[in-house]
Amino acid sequence: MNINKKCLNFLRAMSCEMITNANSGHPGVALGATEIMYALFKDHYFYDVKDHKFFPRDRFILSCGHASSLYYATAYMFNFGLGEDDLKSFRQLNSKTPGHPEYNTTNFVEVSTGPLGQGVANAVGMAIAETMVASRFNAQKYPVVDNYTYCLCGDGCLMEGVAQEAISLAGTLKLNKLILLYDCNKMTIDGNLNISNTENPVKKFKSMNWNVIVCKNGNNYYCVTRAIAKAKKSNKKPTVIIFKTTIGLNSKLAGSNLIHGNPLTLTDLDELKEKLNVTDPFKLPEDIKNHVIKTNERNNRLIEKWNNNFAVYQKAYPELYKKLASFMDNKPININHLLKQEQIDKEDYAMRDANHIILKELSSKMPRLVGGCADVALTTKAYIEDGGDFSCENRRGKNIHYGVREHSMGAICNGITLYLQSPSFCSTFLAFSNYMLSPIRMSAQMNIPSMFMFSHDNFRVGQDGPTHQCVEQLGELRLIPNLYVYRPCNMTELLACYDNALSNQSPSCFILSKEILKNQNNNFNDAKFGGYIISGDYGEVEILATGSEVELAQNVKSILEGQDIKVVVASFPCLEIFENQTEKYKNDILSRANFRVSLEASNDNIWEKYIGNNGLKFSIENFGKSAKQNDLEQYFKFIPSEIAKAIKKTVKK
Amino acid sequence: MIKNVVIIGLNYEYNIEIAQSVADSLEAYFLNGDEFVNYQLQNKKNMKELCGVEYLKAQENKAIKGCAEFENSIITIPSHYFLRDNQYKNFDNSLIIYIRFSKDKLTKQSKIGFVDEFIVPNLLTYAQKDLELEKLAKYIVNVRNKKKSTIEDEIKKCLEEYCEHK
Repeated sequence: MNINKKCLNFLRAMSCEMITNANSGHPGVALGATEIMYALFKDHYFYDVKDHKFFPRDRFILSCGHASSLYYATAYMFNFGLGEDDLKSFRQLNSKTPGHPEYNTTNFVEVSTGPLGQGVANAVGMAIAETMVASRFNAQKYPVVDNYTYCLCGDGCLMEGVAQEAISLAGTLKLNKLILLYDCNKMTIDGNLNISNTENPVKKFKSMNWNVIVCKNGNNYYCVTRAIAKAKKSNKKPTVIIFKTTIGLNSKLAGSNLIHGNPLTLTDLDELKEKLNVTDPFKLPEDIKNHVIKTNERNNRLIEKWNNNFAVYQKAYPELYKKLASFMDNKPININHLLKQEQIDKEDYAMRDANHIILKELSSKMPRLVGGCADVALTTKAYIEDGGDFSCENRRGKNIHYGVREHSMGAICNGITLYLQSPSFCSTFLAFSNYMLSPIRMSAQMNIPSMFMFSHDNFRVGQDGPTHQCVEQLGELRLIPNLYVYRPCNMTELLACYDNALSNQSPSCFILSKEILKNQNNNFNDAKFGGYIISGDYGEVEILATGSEVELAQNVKSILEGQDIKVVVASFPCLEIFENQTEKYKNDILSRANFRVSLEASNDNIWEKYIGNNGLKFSIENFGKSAKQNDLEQYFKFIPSEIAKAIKKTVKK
Repeated sequence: MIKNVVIIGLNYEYNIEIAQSVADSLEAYFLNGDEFVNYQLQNKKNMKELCGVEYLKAQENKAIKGCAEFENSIITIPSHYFLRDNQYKNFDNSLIIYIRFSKDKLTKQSKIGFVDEFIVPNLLTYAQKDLELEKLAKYIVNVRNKKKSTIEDEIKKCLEEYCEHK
């Protein structure tokens, strides 16, 4: 039998056996996309199996994460470090082969995928980051960074809005090292693709400025490898290769939607193995091992060539090499001394403006800091001043214009963060964070330091009306595990939030006011605790507040103290950080008065645990109105006199 | 601009080694034409039994044409396929390099393309094949007493020379 055919048969048998053993998985794509994965790994994918973090490696993202069994089987065949036991424990607890690929669980997986379409956007992010590094450091004849980004996706991925957005942006940015491998089997879970989608993908991609290669026989290894080789020649546009494949090829249900997510029965599996002439799929015969060795040798030659070139590059371009070393360095930054004291003390800031100042200073200390906005840069102010605009003409620009594409912006930001191994940011209004919940969640699952910056964080947005005024967003974000939600009240707190965000390496959301907030007399080190006493010591009433409401709380304090009610104000720039403190500290902060009041312009119920049964919660429980800020404050009774009156009434009871 | 480089000769296994090595050093894709044809046809014995020799021959020719559709690749193809029915015309816009063995050196016949009972038999003599390949090739590299590395270097020189003139 032809050796390539034999390898393909083994891959098919292995994937299906893994799924049947686990009694869970997706054999349809595992059988249908085998040639694509095999051709990619065998002939094109540049990778160092001994060093999964080898920086110049190609990146591969499995956007259709349910093809994980095929991914693991291919990786096993090509010696990526998985053992037979790993394959046999597919989809089991603590296995290296989870149901969908997970970053940090399996060492060659570049990004966690599963929600369809996210991987496409992650791939766009990685391709963007590659051009950024290449433009800064590649010298003539010495391309330090020159990798392709491959992404395998299916019909479902490309229906998702996040993928559409990302594809549109990729075409605009002319990311010619991005190659989308589209497994086009025209089948979805519910049936034929055309029950819900009749678009013409060739015309669609061409209209978005992509090269399109149609591989009519996507289940022919040679056709597939030829197509990928052709795609690599593109120098102006990203490329999609549309592989026409048959879902569940070689199985009884080949071509049917029923094969998508139903494991083969033991009988069907045995029949498949007999058809493929494979007895034990996990025991690779010698001829396959020898065949694969050639692939590893190809990669080893390329790695050696890169290392040799890099050694020459170091000598030929010492200054550039020094800059590269500095670029990749992870030296800690002293955030406390980032700004001059007068910048911190001098002014009252809107938090979006304070953030803008910090980003500018930070980018000079963190050369890998890049980011962008969803067409609201001038409003959220989350852009790096003098950083330049990233485009196909200016790959060194630090500010990416994502367009009105919030969902893909979040996922692309994750891709950039993963490629650069450094925080990258993205920004929009808090009301539109809802578009981005999936990539925010994914960043938390992966534990990567993406920074999501949201301004216009409460009803004071005003006349744009209730669709732009936030109610539940803070609560939604705080419910995501491993996500840190920062809502500072002044520059000092914002600096402390950045210090925490950059040191804990988890994703963070910065919730920034649009309105100017009066500066407070507080301390950077105290603010780092996530919750602290900002004014007062002990009293009858303790007001717990965040962000814009800290100033409001201070005003309420003034009124009540004029009426002989002693008030303590505690600010909580980050509840997650506060929760990580010792019980002693937390009890101390929360026991400065018997009667506690929470004050936040959201409907987050988390405050109920801090105020207790006898406390009072000032919140926004409903959608707002289109009106001026002052009128809305009256409408919601979020003004000092009203709040003081309500507190006094309760205290006097 | 040439589409591919085709390395042709009468010792197919030798050609594979040389071509693979040249492809690796140039970071080009290497296509083993015989493997390609076998992959496309899957089971030639069955095909011949069920459909006859002429049908098998037609399918082989179709597959050989498929080889020529590659781009920027180093291709080897058995001379048996190359010379049959003017199949070499598929490679008109490729650069043909003939690796020539003298007849006395071809003591062990290459298995591929000659001895399989179910392959369409090749009826040309050594001299006829040598003459044909000499006419078709742009460059000829004589193997006589040379190491493989020398042969590879000569092939690369041919490529350089060709590119310079173009």
